[in-house]
Amino acid sequence: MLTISFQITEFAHMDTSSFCPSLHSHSALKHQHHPVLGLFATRVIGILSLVLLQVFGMMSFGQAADDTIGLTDITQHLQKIQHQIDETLERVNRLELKEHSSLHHSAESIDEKMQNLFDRVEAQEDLLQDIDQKVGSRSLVRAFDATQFDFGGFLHSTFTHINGEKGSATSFDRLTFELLFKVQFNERFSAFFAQAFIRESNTRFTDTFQRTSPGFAFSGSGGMKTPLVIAWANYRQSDALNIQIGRYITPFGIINIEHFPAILLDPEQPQFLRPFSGDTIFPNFITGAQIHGQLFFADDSLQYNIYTGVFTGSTPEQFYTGIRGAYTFSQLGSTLGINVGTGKRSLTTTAPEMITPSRNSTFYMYGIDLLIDNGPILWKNEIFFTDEDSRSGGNRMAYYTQPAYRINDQWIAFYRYDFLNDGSLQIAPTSGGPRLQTPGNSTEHVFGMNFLPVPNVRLRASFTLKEYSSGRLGAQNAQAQIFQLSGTFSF
Amino acid sequence: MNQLGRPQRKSSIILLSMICLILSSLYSPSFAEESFAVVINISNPFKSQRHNAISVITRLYLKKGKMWPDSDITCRAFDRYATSAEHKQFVEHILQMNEGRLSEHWAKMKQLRGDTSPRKIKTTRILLKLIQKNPGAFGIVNRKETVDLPKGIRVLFYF
Repeated sequence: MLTISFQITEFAHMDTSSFCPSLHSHSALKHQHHPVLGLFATRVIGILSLVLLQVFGMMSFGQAADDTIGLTDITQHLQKIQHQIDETLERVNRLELKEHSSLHHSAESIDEKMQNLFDRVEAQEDLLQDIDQKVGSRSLVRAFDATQFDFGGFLHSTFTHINGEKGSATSFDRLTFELLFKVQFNERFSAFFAQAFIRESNTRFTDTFQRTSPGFAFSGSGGMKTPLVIAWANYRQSDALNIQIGRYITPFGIINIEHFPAILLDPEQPQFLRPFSGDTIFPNFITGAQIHGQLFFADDSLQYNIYTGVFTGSTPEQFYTGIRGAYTFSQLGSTLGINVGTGKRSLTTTAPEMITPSRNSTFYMYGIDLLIDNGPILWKNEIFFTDEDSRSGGNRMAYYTQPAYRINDQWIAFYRYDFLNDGSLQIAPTSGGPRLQTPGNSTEHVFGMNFLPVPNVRLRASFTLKEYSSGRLGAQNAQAQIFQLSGTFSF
Repeated sequence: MNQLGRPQRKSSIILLSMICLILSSLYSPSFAEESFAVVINISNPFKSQRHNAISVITRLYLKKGKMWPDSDITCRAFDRYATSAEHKQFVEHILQMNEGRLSEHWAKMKQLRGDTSPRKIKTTRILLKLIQKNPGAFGIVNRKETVDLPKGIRVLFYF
């Protein structure tokens, strides 16, 4: 009985606060209602049961032992139990606190997740709106069979005034609408087409030596032409090895490769590239095949083209073959190109007094070009020589230098000095009539300005001072001034 | 001698301090610049020094080259919207161009080869999904977004 009463007393002296959850836990209990309250009650009952079991277990021990020793043992044992209970309760409290904080934390993360989802939905809606604005209820254009199909084009128009020694002439002389198509069949195979619709008149001097009386004459039927400018298919083995077949731009020099008005500072290309689709020095276009590619060395690169084909202005059996290599020094913003080619020309010439039909006359061509594109400076330089068959009337030479300065993103100023020696040839139509080219040298000084109000629109104004030197047939020196306004609108 | 040397020492210290100040104002720490990253598909084996990696990314973005070096993987570049900080910083620091020069470049590529500028992606989440799906893809993200990149994507370099 003594033991029992002592036990009860000791129990009454125990720190009862440890039995109770903390104030914080209480608030948590209130907040969490029954599930947590039930959990707490279960724990209290469990602890009480543990105490009772321990006490009753010691009673039997106490009956068998001496009263004094037993009391000390019981006291020590009870202290141990009390210590264990305190530890257990502490652990329980800690667990409850942890549970509470994790619940709080998960509530926060739910908010974050919700916000994240809202953001994502909003981004998707923005995207959908963009697409809807572009497509709307319209149907999309799709290629029959291609992984990618892009098309674009440009409209180009010029207004020209020529002031010659014997009169002047003015015209809206050129209107070109050209469509560009790019088709990607797979990662390796692609094709590119440029179909032009041109209504134009060419500058033509009507005097015998074609240098003093300016005028315009429609080219083609009523000035209308619809050439297929480019049509090639390309297979890419790697960046270093591509094989191309079809009609392509002769990969010589700088401006002939660029050739599209949308990217030219002056749509009137240098003299050696005129007439467009001609072959004054080399053909502008070729129908055939080429192997081309690029090799990269850290920042620099080497481009090459090896090609062969026929020129549409000559007979179908007359092949033209050439090779070009160009090295880009990235740090200098410069590209140096070397060009070598050979082919046959089909011309009817006077050299100089008698008319001699010259067919299949072989010529060789050599050229060097240097492009400096560094910061605001854009400087193009090309020089070409030909070694002609003696029946063709003499070797030809052409060069130009065209420095340009980018004043800002919208304004570019340029100058070009352009020289052509066409080999003292005078080409006369077999059916008779006026000669088509004047003999001798001609030079041009071109001053121009480009304005790009938006990147796709290029407006230009240029002034050209043209000078003819005397030729073998008794032509006099002459000058002409040409003013031109032009606009190219590409998409 | 010591008394005469003191003012000279003082002035030289002041001069040195001024030089240090000027130099420190010229120096901008690299971490301040590296706020963005170029990320690629993890199956892309391309690894290189930072300088060379920048050269490669430049030519691939500008479509001067179309394949990743020493591999058979065709590149697919993704851009960000022109108004985004990612695009602006990439153009300025990696391509070292301005928007005018870039427009000029794409006009040329479009006319000569039919190549167009990389597709512009608005959200990082969609960009990362596209990179995950295309072994040859790369894109530009904010550095903060590289902390928990999804599986299948790795950082090529920071800038």
